[in-house]
Amino acid sequence: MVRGQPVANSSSEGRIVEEIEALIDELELLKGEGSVVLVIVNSRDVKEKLINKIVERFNANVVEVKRGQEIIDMLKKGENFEVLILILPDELTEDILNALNNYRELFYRCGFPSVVICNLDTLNKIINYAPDFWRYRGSVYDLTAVILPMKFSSLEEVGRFIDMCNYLLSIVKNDNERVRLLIELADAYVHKFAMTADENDLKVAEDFAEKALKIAEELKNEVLIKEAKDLLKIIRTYNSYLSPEADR
Amino acid sequence: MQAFKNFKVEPLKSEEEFKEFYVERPEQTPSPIEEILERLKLSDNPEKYLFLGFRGCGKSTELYRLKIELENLKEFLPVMVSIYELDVNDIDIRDFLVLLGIKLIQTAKEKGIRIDASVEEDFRDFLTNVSHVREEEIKTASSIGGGVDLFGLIKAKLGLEATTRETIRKELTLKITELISRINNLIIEIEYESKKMIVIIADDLDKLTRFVQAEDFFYKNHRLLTQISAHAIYTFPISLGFDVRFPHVANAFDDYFTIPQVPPFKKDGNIWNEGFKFYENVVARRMDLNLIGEDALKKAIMSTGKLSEFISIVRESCIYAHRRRDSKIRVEDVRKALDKLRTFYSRTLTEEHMEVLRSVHETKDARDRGVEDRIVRDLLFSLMLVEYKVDEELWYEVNPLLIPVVREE
Repeated sequence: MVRGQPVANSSSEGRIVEEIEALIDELELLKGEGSVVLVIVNSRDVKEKLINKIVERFNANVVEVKRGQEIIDMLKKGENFEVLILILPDELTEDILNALNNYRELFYRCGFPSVVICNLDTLNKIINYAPDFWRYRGSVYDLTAVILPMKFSSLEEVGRFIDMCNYLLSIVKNDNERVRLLIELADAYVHKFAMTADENDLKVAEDFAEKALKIAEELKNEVLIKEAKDLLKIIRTYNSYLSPEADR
Repeated sequence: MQAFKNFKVEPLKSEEEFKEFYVERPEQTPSPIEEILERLKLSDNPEKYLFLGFRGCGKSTELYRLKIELENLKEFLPVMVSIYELDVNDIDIRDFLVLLGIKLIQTAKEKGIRIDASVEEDFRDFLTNVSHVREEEIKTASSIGGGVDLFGLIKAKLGLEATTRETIRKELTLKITELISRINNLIIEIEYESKKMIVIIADDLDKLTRFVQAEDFFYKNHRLLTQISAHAIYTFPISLGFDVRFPHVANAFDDYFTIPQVPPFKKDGNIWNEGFKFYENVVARRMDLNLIGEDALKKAIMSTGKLSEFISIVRESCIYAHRRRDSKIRVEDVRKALDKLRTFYSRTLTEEHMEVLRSVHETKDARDRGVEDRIVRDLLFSLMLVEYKVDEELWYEVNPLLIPVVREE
């Protein structure tokens, strides 16, 4: 049995819905006032679903933060939206940490709640290098333990899905769609690996994800680059469980 | 009575109807369809456009014209989607995307385009899953006849049953990206099999009845519309085009096009010959001009200044003439039809509305006082205010039908 292998269970979906709904309720209460809600999430899918759900309910501005100044500008000038969603990058720069720490009061003066999304590594950096911001935070939602329910109920189903994606891959003309299909295939093989624990499935998943990343980079499609990278990160985490010596 | 039948307030749809009734717009207030067509021909990547226009200005007619033009070109496959196939009073983006997927399959089948079984089954399984439709329901529906299959059943249930809508929306809350992926899979497959590029023409989205509904659809969820991997033209509620958030939404699409109303008069109120002629031609295409008095025609044109309202007034006037057992429409028939419609409009006017209407009539400009103020947008949505654009000159006017009411005040 592989350590840390994602296990599908019926409570996973309930858990994510519950957590997200609690967050939505809180945002509803915070409407019109400044506040910081921290959400810690590792899974790309969970993050995507969380954002979709917020955007669906509120007039939200979604910012993938690259520089600290972006945070300051949004908080100072931000208007015409109800919720600000700040997605912090995986590699937190000093510039961003300083912006969070030194301008923390802006989060409460701005007239709208901010949802700050980060992963567990990033959170550790915030606690250590932006301690005042951490002290100023409002609620914290930990979605790291949430694993989305399995997309497939049986090996046969995942097999059919893989066959369909391979077929579509052989006829697709649009390069962005080609990348999406490669990512779907990689993801399907990760699910297959979760069912079979067969290392070859993980290898195939990695190959597809790498191909997807290469084309996405050629296309300069930031969204797809991020998706492919996120997936590769998950695949490599599983790989490190499989061969812990490779990590040392 | 044939004239009465020819004045249907419905968009032209078939090639025959276009041949018989379509009138070219004056070149100073052109239809954007030609430009859209050119851009689609030149583009290799899926383009996403917003299509704006006031109600009754001929948007749907122009979209059907686009559909026919596309059908006549071998490289395109137009897919028309109208929210009237759902419950227009209760619709959200998830319902629309489900309908879009179903329409893709139905259009392919109508055109005899084969869809790979694995792609169709994958979509079918997904829909069965999110709709909770049971196998027995499908069997019962298909046994009733009329060729109802799972897709037809879900489409019907989405339009008629609030519980089905709730179920699907709840399920799709966490699976909306999966739905979009499946729609894009269908697009890849249908485009490959047909050797044509799909052009989605989403009509009637501008008729989302409640402002909040339209806001949710476009301002909160427009990103989902841009993720569809085919050319797409989405009609857009013109009232939202006056919102400060519009530039932000418009930027997410490749471009937006506005179809102008054709004014029969200039900004100063004098007759604009090209516009006047346009309306005259609309009548001439539908009936012998000898069947309407010159003054009656002029009255109908100058008192409406909007295509669908003009057609509806002439239609109503036909009935009044018929009741008088007269074969010719006289000015009193038109006056009667106008009075009836005017009463209908003026009943809903508040003092606040009147203030805005008076100001617009004087200044030919229309602006709300603040972001929260929606009077101008409401009046534009209800067609009590009209936007005109000739060449590059833009101005606003009170619905010509209401000008006497505003003047009286």
